[in-house]
Amino acid sequence: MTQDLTTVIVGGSHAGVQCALGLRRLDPNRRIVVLEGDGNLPYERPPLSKAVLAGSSGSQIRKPAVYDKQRIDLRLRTRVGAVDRTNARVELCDGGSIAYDSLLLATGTTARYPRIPGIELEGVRTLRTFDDASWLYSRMTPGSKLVIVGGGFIGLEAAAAAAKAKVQVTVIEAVGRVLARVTNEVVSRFFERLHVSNGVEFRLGQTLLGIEGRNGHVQAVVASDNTRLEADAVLIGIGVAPAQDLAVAAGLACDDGIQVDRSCRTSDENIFAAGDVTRHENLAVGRRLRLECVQNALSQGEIAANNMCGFPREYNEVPWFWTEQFNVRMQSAGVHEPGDKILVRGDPDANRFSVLYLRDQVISAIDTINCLPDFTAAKRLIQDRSPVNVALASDPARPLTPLD
Amino acid sequence: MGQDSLEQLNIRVVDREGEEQSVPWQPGESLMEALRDNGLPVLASCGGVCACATCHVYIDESLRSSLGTRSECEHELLSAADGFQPEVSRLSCQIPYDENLNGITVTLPCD
Repeated sequence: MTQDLTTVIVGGSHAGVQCALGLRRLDPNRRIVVLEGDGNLPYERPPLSKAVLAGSSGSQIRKPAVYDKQRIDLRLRTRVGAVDRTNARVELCDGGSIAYDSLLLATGTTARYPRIPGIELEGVRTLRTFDDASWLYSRMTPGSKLVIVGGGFIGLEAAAAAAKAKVQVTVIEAVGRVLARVTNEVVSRFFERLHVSNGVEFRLGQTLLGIEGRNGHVQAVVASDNTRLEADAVLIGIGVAPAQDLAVAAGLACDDGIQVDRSCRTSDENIFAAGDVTRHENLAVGRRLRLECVQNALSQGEIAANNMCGFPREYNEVPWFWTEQFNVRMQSAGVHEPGDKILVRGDPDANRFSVLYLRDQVISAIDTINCLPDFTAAKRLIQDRSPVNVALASDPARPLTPLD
Repeated sequence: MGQDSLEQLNIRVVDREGEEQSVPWQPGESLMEALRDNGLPVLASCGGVCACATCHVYIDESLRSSLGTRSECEHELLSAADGFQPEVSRLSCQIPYDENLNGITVTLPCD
């Protein structure tokens, strides 16, 4: 009798859970072990900077009963210390080890901290876990002062939630506009106006020199123009780094992310990686990149499961993202490059418009604000690389369609 | 009425291969969660916030009035989705548990 295969998954994340469920669907007999360092059942991360900051208790990726029913051996509060590739075992921090036939690294990212004086003070925190979000929500008392460092998605979503709760919010952003890493200037200015009209203050083009405290707790921050801003809490939202230490220590190829091919396979043929931690190839994008989004995590989890089970599948899906701030929803699809031309469809002042990123006549990406028909249409055009009539594409009354 | 007094429903699901199966629907779940958590290939990328149309299903046409109208957001996502059928297409994440839906048939659209 042959021994059933074992897959070990490091990370009870979107990617890890998707892979586990995919494996069970494809292989009824496989032993599937998911190792998660957190004490909570796997939960969705997008709500942490949205619904949880409005008082929701969050969403589990699956109900607890699903793991039993699908015979997934989910072990919480279980940290992995090392991957022993020679013997194909993962070594656990509290002793013991588990042998694997295939291994998935779905370890995600860790939040970056600036190296400045006072960063260790109580009341200074990032937003990455459910506990972080619960902490921030508990600090959002009316009239209190919150300083947010970083005007990216996390910073702005937190700013919107806090402003709604009547917190005095100041966002310090190093670049001259918000969301600079992810979008164009038209959209950046739209979100700045939205926030300012809801009482959020911006300090653009500034960084943080230091954080001051009293009795170990934050009291104020000092911005780079030497202004001192009082603060009851400070949220650091300046981006993330891939949690690739295990892979680096195991000698897997890494470069700001664990390197994987289109099958989600690392430089070791029995080790796969999926989600935010990967630097990957995606046929729909056409170059190697690292992404931070649920779509990528779910897709790669599924691709890895298929390839582990001997069903070759390559990653070929347009990435997409969404954000919600003050009841405005932006949905974006595709990946844009610095040379792309910007085309605005509709009127930003009407709170409903899209911005296309064009490479010649082909859409490489789109940002849609309260305009979902454009989102779905453009996503398909990006996937198919269909040329569009650029002159007509700026007319919001005409649906986005391929060139005849 | 508290959830304790609510009962598990059973619905019929026709999958993409045309195979039919019975699926339990627990109080408190959206239709999407009932489908997804019972192993049907409903991706529901966005987790159920009406952002992605990956939980698109067809509902019995006779149920149209009892389900109510689609929100603007649901309509906009669906109307551009693959396989959209104006009379019967819904996003299953937008359909909450409802005792009156016991025994309905839900069909998954082809990819």
